[in-house]
Amino acid sequence: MLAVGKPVLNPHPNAIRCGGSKQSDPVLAARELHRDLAMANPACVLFFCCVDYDRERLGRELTALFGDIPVMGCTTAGEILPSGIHTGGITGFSLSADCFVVEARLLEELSGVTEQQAHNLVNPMLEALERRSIAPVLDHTFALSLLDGLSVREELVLSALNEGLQGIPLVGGSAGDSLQLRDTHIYFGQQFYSNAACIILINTIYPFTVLSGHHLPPGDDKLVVTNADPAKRIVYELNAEPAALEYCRVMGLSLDELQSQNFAMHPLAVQMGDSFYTRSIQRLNDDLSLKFFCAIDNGIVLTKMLDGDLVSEFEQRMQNLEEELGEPPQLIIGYDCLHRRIEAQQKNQTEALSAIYQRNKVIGFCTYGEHIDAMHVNHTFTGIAIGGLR
Amino acid sequence: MQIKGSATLDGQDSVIEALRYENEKLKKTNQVLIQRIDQGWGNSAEAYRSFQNAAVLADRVKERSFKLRKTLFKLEEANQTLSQTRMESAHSRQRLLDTIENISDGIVLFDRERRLVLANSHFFDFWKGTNAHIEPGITTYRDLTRLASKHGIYDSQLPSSEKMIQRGAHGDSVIRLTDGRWLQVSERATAEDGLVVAYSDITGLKQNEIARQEKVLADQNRLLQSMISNLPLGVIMVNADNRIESFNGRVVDLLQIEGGPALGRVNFAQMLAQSILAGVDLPSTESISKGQRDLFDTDYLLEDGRILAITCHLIPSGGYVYTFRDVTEQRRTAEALKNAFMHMEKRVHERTLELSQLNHQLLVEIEERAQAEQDLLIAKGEAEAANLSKTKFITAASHDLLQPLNAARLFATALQDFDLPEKVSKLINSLCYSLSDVETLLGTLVDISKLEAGIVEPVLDNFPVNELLQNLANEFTQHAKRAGLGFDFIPCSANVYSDSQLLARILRNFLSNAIRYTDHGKLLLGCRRHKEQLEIQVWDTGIGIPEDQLQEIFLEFKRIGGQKQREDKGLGLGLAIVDKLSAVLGHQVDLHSVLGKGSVFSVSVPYASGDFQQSQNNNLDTELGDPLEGKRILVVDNDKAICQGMAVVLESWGCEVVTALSLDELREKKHLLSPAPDALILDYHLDDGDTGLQAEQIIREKLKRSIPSLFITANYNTDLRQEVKAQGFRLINKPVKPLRLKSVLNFLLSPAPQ
Repeated sequence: MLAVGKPVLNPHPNAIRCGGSKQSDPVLAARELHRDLAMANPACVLFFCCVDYDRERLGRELTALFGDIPVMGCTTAGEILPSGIHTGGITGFSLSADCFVVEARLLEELSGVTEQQAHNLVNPMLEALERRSIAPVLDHTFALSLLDGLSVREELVLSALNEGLQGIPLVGGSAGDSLQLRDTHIYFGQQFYSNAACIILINTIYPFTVLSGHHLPPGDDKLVVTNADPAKRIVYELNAEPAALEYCRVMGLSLDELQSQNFAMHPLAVQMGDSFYTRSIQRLNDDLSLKFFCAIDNGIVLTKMLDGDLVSEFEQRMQNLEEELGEPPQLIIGYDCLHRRIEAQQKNQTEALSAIYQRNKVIGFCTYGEHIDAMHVNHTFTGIAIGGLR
Repeated sequence: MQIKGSATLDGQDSVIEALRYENEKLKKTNQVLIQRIDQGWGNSAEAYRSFQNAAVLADRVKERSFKLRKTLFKLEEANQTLSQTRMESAHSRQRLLDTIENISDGIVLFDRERRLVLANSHFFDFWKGTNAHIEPGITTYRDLTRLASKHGIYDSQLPSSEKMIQRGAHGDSVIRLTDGRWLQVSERATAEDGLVVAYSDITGLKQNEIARQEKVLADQNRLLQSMISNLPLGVIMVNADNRIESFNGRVVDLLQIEGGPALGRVNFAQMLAQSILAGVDLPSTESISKGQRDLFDTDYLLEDGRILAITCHLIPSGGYVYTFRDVTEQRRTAEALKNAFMHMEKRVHERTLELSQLNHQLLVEIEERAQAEQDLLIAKGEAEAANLSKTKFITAASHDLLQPLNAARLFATALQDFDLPEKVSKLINSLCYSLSDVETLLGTLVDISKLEAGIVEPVLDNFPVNELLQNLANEFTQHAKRAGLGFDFIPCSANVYSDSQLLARILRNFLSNAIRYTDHGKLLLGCRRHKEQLEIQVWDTGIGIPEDQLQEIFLEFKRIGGQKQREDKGLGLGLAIVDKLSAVLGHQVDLHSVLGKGSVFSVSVPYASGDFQQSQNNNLDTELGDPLEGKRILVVDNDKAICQGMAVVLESWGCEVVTALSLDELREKKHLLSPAPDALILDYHLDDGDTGLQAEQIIREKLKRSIPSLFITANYNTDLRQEVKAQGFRLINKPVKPLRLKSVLNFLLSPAPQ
């Protein structure tokens, strides 16, 4: 009994490494990311990058730098770097094979994915994971999903995947393209794909918990979808009025104010039991119809959501999390809705939010939709918090 | 709602319109909602339905967070246990502190990174009075050394001999603090790779040790002084200030220093001035480079003729040692040795010169000898050429000699057969013997010379041995009878591989030898079969050969004194020829003899190869009367005398003889072949290069069959013999011995074996 000090429970102080780069040159950005993420025995690398990068050069450089290490990622509508929220950069983290076992697959041609296909994809992954696992698979595994955010197939793909995962929590985000709404990309196996999804199973010795929630209180105004095309997520009429006009009326906006900022500031949600799930509007069409980021249907009732305190709600959530984990998290893999970023920007709260993210080791990106189990939702911060530092 | 006039009416209308519109909207909304409720979840859009399902299932998430909270609770429990453990560890730490506090040494614990964990108050006592900042968890072992130096507790710049006295096997070391205290530093590794260091004050121990060492040094010093005093050298030790530290009596004597023993602390140069070395310049000690131990070593020739060797050594601690030695004797000896060496050098040079002259003479001699050898080689070549021409001469001469001799013998033999008065008959007999002797002598001489010249080459062939033996038996039965001896012959059916002519000559020599040296009794010719060879033996009941002469008799001209004086005594060349022939043939000749009882000469001949088969059994002992009687024989010889001689001899055997001298005669004279002759005797060499073979050919062509033929030649050429034999003919050499001629003819004219 000689040395007296803090007992060290975590035998792997460097099991997770985070990093990012604000460089706009893909090669420099990749090198900076690699410098931050390099470790002795990596299991995988995940990254999220701005859609503006020359993706071919970025992919080539990442391949050159990381070699055989599995690297997965997607394009974003904003990145959460170790230093906070940023747009036009790259962020990511690497996991050590000492503490994490990773199984990842690519799902292509999302438009045609069936439940059977998803099942066929997930089952071998679970079997492989079972063989290699370092902790009991069902209790110590979570799934991360990255989906093409413009595929209009999120709900179905997630539902199919979730069915196969046998209760393993699934958390993820839809890839973005900085609101250009043209194409989003998934990176897997050393190249970028469109109209694809990447599913990653992670078995770990660390405790973890799933986060999902929003800060919006419900208002009294209700809007009934009286005419819609669910397949295209377009609502033509709300309360039997042209959708855009009725939205403007309820929100107190004029038509020419219908832009992303105001869609973000004036969200609509559907109620399921006690819970409200925001359906974010993607854009206004010329025929005064509205296109949504996630599923809608005829006859559903949308509730006008009121303004909430984004920052304090998140702060509170982080406090709850720390209580739950008994310690600050090692890493939070965060899928933060694009509209939250816009909202924070509108309210001049970006820095405050960044500070909390930084403090809580959040790495992630601004999505076109968050995934929580089989659900595709909007206007939430969804993620996985990994504990076990002590 | 208010109603006011037309305006109000208009207002009413618009209100009604608005209400209608509102109603429409509500209707539609109502309808959509009813439709949705009616459809339930069944017909709604797939995507939204899955979202809805998922939202309902979100409760599971809540359940899971409950599980997590349970896990958290467990973690907290673990944390509590840990706090408890931590408290216990604090207690242990306190106990440890108390324990080490009770140890009189300074004790320090370091962790695996060599950071200080804790230390007792005795350790901190070392630092009393300094403001050194020592903090557990931060200060390292290395820092301590640095701090000690910085605060003047311990001087790492001290000379190493003073700083560190010893280092034990367990990492113990002893250091000296600047205040003069001595510390023993003991290091021990702990189980966790940490380090315990104990500092013990051992000043007391150390001082005792130093005192003891000083005493030892003083003793050593005394010893050294007494040693110096007794040295046969003169020694002076000078300190760095050039003052004399110590010296011995010898130096006073050597240098004849005035003042003698009162030299202590005198300046060295001053001392020199008072000595015999006054005025001598010793090399300057300053000019010599640093680091050199031996400063100089020189000899001085003093005025009184002595030589002094002076050396100067640097003392590491400062100062010099001068030694003085009287080396007069050594130097003289060295000089003498040097002279001797010079003399030797000269001697060696002289000897070398002599040797090189001798060497030159030898070389000249060798050259002369090489010349002589060359001359000898030339002479040898000439001698060989002369020898060859001699052999050629003998061969040629013998041919010419033998021809007439042959004729003479034939005549003499023919003469014997006439019925003459006894006196004449005796004379003729003597003549015959003399001729025979001459002929034998000549033949033997020719043979010997030919064998010696290596001209004779065997013509080896398979043949039935009996053919040869029978002829010899026939021939020698008569000789033996004449000598009054019995002759037995045992036929043999074996076939042998040899040269029949040369083998016959060996056996003939044996037989004539036997007759010559046998006074009475008999001879025996027979064969003994051995596994590999056939041994042909000739037995006699003669005088025998003394054992010491068994080898000798095979030398030329060696003869054993026989009792019997015989007319046909040989030259003693017979067995010499046998020896040479057997060597040529490769046959082994053996001799067994019992003095006074008789001898056995034998020659061993290899058997014929297996496929040679010749049945000739019928030929044995088939005496069908005289086969020559009434036979017609054609003799072809270019020498008329031979023809006549042959005719006389053959006719005396009852033959009818016709002769021809040339091929032309053979062709022209028809009576020669009518009636056809029974046998041909052909001289090989006819005139004008014609040969007996051509003669045989002519006869064969004319008669359209071949006649048994016998060729005669004086030429011993091997090619010729082979040529004749190859055609299946017989060949005998001149001079023709009548008995041999008869036996060959007998053979030729005997009925061919069936």
